[in-house]
Amino acid sequence: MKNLFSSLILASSMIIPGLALAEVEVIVHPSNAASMDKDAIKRIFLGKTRAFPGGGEAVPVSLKEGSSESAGFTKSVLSKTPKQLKAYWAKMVFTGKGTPPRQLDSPGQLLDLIATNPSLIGFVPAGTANGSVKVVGKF
Amino acid sequence: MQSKILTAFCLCFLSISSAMAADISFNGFATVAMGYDIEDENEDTTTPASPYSERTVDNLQESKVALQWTAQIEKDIRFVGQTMARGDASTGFTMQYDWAYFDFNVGDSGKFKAGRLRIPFYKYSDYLDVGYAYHWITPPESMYSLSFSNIDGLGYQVNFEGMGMEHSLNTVLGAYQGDLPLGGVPTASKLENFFAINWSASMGDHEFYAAYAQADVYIPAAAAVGLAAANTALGGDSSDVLVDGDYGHFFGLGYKATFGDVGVFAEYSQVGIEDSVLSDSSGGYIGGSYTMNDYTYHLTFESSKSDEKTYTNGDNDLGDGTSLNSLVSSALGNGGSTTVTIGARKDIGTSTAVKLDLSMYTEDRIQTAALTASKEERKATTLKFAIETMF
Repeated sequence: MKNLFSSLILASSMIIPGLALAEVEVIVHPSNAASMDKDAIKRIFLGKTRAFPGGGEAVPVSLKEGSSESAGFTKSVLSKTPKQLKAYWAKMVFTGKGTPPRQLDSPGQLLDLIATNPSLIGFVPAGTANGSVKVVGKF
Repeated sequence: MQSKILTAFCLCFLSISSAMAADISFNGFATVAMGYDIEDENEDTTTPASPYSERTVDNLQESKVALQWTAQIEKDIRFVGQTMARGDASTGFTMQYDWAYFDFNVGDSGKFKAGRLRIPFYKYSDYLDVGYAYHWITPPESMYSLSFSNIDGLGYQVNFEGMGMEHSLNTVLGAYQGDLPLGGVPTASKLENFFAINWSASMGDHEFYAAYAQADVYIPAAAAVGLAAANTALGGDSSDVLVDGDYGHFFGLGYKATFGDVGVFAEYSQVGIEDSVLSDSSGGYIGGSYTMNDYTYHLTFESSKSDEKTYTNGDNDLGDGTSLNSLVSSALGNGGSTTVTIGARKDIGTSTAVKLDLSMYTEDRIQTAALTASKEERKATTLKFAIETMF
């Protein structure tokens, strides 16, 4: 019975691919020397601070919501579901406390932007980052 | 006059900002709510227990639509304005400016604000009107009882970390001018030297807050003037009755936590105005929720209490068979109430929710003389439905 139950769970996860969350790499400009853990990244992406640990302006940019990378980052780094994140930004926007990160359509756009701006921080699918950016975490 | 100045200020600002081609973004939210009064034991009185009493399901009193614009003027300077139209059962929608302020970034995580600001009284104060952000159709009225929520003045808000928690400190300083009720009658009033501070902290899935506010309160209501004259006749001091610059204070506490799909929440507050005829009041609620996929089911128990003021020699006959204390009780009322609300919310997509709330309200003691003759308690049961969205 236990094996049957496990098989059902496995089968259901295979026929519902939307549940799979992609692994992401958090990237910054190569000149950024800040050392960052998950909490520091979370604070920047939730608008709780506008600076990297150790100083320097921090501006988060995100991949378009709805992508599996965005859902993966939201779950593993921000510890929220997409719905909770939407509600969080509703509170922040309508209280004038902040605005959500600018969203880009593709990892390529995000890589190009971060490679030219030392203030930016973003995330791309694991394995996508190239030499033009620096990876500060994989989640 | 104040709103005209504010309107002119906003229009002036908008024209300037257009000229400067500032980066302006727009957001909005809307609620369409309907209520049905299933039972109201006092629907024939002038003070029905349910605000939906004797009304039909198409009234608009809790419906609203708002548009917020944010103009990024310089890197660290923004202007935020929020215009809201609230539903009114008799006049349709009435528009007003809820917020209009400049904010300036200070340091890595601070903001200084100047203009019309939201007072950080409660857990949900900052987004009281954004129904999408919470599970009820309206937050518990026993707690969210103050009839004003904004002041004109200055504010400072900062986030910081410490003791394993994330903290947020929000302070405002300013003044309020507008209607405040005394004995249920709105009176042109003012709060001077208004100061409020709210500290909130979160640790994982646990959130706490504590808030304090104070002000010099002026409510020149005719009822208070009459009662003050009665107190003077009894050898008392009229200033013990009048609300003439008296120290008003507010204290609030709250807790919210989530344990997977289960949520718990509670808030409590006390309000008082010393040396005045106004009753000291307290209120709060406790509840829980369960989320299953797109559905959230919730149960809330709320309670409020109001203690009337009594005066030395206040039981003496005033010559017409009445006494000052009985007049105070009649005019301002005292007592307690409890409300149990059960409800459900269904999320549709990531920016719309449909809600259904059933509230059972019981007033434990007499609130006004109008009811004294007939009943010792009154009850109301209200069913409400709402669609909330943001864009």
